[in-house]
Amino acid sequence: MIADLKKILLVEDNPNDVELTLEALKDHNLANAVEVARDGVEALDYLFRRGPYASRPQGNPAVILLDLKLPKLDGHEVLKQVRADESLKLIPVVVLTSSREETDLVQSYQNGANAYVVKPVVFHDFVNAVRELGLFWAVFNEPPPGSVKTK
Amino acid sequence: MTDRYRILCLICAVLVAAIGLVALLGWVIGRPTLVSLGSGMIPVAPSTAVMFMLYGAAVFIRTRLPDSRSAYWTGLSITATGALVAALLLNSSLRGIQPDAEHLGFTIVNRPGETPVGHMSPVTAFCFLLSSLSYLLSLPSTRDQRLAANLAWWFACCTIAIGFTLILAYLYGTPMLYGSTFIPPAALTSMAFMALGTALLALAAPHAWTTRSHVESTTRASYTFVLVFVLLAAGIVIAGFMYFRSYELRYRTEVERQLSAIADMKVEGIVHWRKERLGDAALFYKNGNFSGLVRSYLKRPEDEVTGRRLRAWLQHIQKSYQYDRVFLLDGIGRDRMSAPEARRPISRHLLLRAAEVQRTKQVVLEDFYRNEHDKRVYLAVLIPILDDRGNGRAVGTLALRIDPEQYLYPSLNRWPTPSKTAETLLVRREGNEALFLNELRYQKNTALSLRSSLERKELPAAQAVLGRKGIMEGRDYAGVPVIADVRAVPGSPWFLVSRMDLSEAYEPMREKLWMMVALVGALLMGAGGGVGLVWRRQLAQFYRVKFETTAELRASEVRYRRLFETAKDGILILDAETGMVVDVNAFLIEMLGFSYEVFLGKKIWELGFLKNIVANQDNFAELQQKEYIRYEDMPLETADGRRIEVEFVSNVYLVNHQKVIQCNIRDITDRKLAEKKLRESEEFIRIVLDNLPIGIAVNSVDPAVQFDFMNENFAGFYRTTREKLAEKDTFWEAAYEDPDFREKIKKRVLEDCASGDPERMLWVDVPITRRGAETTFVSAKNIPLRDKQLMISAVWDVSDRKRAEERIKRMNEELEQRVKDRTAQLEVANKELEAFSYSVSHDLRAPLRHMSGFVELLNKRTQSLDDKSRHYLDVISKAATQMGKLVDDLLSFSRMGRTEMMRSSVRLRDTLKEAVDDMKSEVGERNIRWDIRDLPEISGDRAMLKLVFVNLLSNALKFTRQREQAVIEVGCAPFETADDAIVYVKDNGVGFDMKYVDKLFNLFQRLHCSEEFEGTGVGLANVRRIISRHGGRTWAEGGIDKGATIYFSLPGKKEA
Repeated sequence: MIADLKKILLVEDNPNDVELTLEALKDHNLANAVEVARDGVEALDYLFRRGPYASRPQGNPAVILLDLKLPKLDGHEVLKQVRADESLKLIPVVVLTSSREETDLVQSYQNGANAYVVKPVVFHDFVNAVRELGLFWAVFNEPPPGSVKTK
Repeated sequence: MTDRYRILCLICAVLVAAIGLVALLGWVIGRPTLVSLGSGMIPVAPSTAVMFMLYGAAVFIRTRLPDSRSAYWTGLSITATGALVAALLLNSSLRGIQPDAEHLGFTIVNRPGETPVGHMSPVTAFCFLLSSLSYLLSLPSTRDQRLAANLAWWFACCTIAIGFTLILAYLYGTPMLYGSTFIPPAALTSMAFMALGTALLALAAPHAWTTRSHVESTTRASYTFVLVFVLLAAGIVIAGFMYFRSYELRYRTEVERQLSAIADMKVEGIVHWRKERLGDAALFYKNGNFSGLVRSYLKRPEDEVTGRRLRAWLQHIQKSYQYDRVFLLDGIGRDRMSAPEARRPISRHLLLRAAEVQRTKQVVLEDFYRNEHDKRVYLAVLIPILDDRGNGRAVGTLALRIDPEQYLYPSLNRWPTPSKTAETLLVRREGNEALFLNELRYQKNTALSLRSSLERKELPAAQAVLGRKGIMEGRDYAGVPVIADVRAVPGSPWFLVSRMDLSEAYEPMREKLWMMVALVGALLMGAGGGVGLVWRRQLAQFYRVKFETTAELRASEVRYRRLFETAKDGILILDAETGMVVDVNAFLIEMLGFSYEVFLGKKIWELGFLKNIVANQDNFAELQQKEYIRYEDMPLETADGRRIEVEFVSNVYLVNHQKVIQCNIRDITDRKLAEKKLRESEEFIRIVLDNLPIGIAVNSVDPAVQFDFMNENFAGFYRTTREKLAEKDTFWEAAYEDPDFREKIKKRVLEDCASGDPERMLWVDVPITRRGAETTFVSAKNIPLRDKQLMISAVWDVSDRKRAEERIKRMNEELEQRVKDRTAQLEVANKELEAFSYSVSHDLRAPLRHMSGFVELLNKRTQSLDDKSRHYLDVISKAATQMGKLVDDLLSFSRMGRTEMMRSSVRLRDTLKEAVDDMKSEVGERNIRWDIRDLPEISGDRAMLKLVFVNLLSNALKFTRQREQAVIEVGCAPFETADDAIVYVKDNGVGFDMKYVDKLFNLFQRLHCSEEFEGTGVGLANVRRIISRHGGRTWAEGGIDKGATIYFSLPGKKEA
């Protein structure tokens, strides 16, 4: 099952969620390929290879798991900027959030989200959801050109 | 004037004028006789011709222009002048004066003794006078036109009759007045008068006989026809008589002329004959040779030679001159020689006469004598033979005897024309008698034997003998009426009578007479037949008209009778003289209730129940005198004692020359009642109007304002007084104080009124200002009445409302400001709430997720935990899960209140089906009976309504969990109201205590413990929220262990 792992960018401010997410992905050895950005600015820095990520090797993640409620710059803004950029706009973005608000849902799709997943409260469900997301996007899905893979 | 009359008139007028013109033209070209229609007839006089032209013109223009004043006056002046001229000429003509002025400048020479031409006949002048009178009388006039027209008619008739008679005379060939001392009228003149008379007849006829009754006009027409016939007959007879007389005259003249001519011839013959005889005598008288011979013979009769020579003489005479016998008598009267030789005794008379002759020595033609020997009549020439020796002695007498039978009688009796009765008589006077000398046609042996006394004057012979000469009529010897020419035969004692029986002489005239009688008879019959035919036609026409009139009259009678019988008025017909009731109609009988007999034969004042109207004869006299009377409000009592009010109208008029009074009696009780009601109603309306809180007026706006009526309040609302508004157009000044505003409102109101549009005639909140006082407001409305001249003006005070409105407006403004403020606050609160919800959804769930997640992780990691610890971890995990669910439900509830509703048409049945399908997965193996009825289609938010069903169905499933068989029924309530759909979801679950029914729909309210039935208590609260957002209601019914029914209503149901 382990083939070429594709990079996953997880944009999540809550460390608990990061931990739980990673824990869920780890079950399927997907955790290695996860880059975590703690806020919107950092996510963009990573994607545009600037600031602390200026030296990051070239290549886009295969998928971005994006929380909406983020410090500094929220998920919607990040998504907009990604979609606005020529080199980034093809990256699949999965919104992974606690919000069941319809406004969030509608806005996300309008901005070009590829999927919208509400984080389940029950851990078991949460794990399942994240794992399937990871599997789908990082393994089965063929990313657009320009995505980097990790060995 | 009918067209027929007009055309006749025009034709005749043109004819008259044309005759005048032609006659005048004849004079102009110098050949007036060309138009006198026959030789020997006189032409139309120039004066007559001109007058015909003028009269023709007068009739023509009057017919063509009946209404023209100028035509009227032209005709009048022409005919009046004409009458004057005609009268003058008539007068002068009758006195034998013929003025040359009549010739009108034409050169006319009249030979004395002939009928003078170029002058108007007195008959013509008379006819012109008649025509003028007829024309003038037939002119339209105001006074008794009928009489005048009748006279005109008669004058025209006379003119025609005269013209007709004259023409008839011309046609018979014996024009009248020719040869008399009067100038006769010309043939053309007579024709012109017939035409003129006809035209005048046509002019007069329409006005004559017009207003007569039918009977009278028929009688009149009969008289007229008889008269026309008499006139015609008289004309015919007179003309016939005249003609005959003239013919007789001419014939008689002819006969006389013939008789005279024959007599002349005879006399001449006789005279000639006598002369011859005497000539014969002269041959021997004083003839010496012959005398010598005779003397010798008488001396010596034996001398043969002498005897022979003398005999030769005598024989020669006898033979050559055709004497009957020649004999020679000697001086003493002895017959000495005769030829022929046979001796005959000589008449004694002759011997005597011979002796006489010898004595007188004159030759004598001896008149007729009778020879007594042979009884014959002879004449003789006795010639005395004088002695040739000149001693004056007569030696003998030579007698030449003449037998009248040989020549004289035949020559007398010979008539040059064939005649049965004509003969010539020769008579001579003998004493006091006339002696007939010749043999007569009708009597034998008359010669020298028939004598007639001279006393018989009727005898032509007697007259002749008495010396009369010429033609006479008398009776001849046979007593037959004769015509005779009598005269003496010159040189003789004889008288010649040439006679003819009158019967023969007048034989052709008798034939002519019979012919005339036949002709006149035929003409009379023709005229009679013609007039009769016209009369018959007239009569037929009259009877037809009469029949039609009668039929029409009968129809009319039926109609009016019916009208009378069925009239809804009581009608009483009275004899105007006596006041007797003649007739009464059924309606009156019914109205008053008295029977027909009560009325009939009574005088009106005797009818007691009419005492209020006609109480006595004096009242009736008033009815009689006034043509029309009307009484109103007359009370009457009917037969059954009812009192009614009536209107009484009486009319007087003529029926068949008889005055009747028609009384109409109308029951006006109902009308009076209605009038009273109307008055009351009007009073009511007036009171209502005056007490209305609005002003009402009736006025005209045209465009001056004039009030006909205003109620109590009207003036007050305009803050003025009734008196100030009374004058015309004072309204504007009285009502509006400010001049600028007054002009403005006046212009607007007048324009609105002029538009006629009722919608525009409402003026709202018009301020009525008064200096120094509070402004009041009125609203006014004008309602145009149907005739458009008048309007109903209504005005009411709106000051209070206006003030209230202003107050409300102020309050509204304040309120609006407050709402604005509140809304702003609310928006802020909403924003905060949203932010809060958002935080909750994110931030409240995250720790729960973490708790659940990490407990799980802990569980995985520590396999060796004791049961107690595991239980604790389990509790933590479950609590976190429960908490998460609560948060989710709470969020969904809150969202339900905020999310926008997406309204569309929703088929509840489909929505329910989706919800049921969703539920099926939860149901598993449970035994459930779904009882789903038909549901309507409504307008609402589909997703929300689905949530309603999901909530309700999941509740139902939940609370029926313990049932062997769950029964879930969804349907539409049968007691639905008009517009709302009522849907219920019913289960047979555990139910609930109705005590808590009020709490059922509250948030987080649960009626069961969570161990028994899980749940957050948000479901039904959510249902209520959704339904109430749809404008509906929710309620529930149920009982413990009796199941529960949840109802909700939805407005805006659509028919399924």
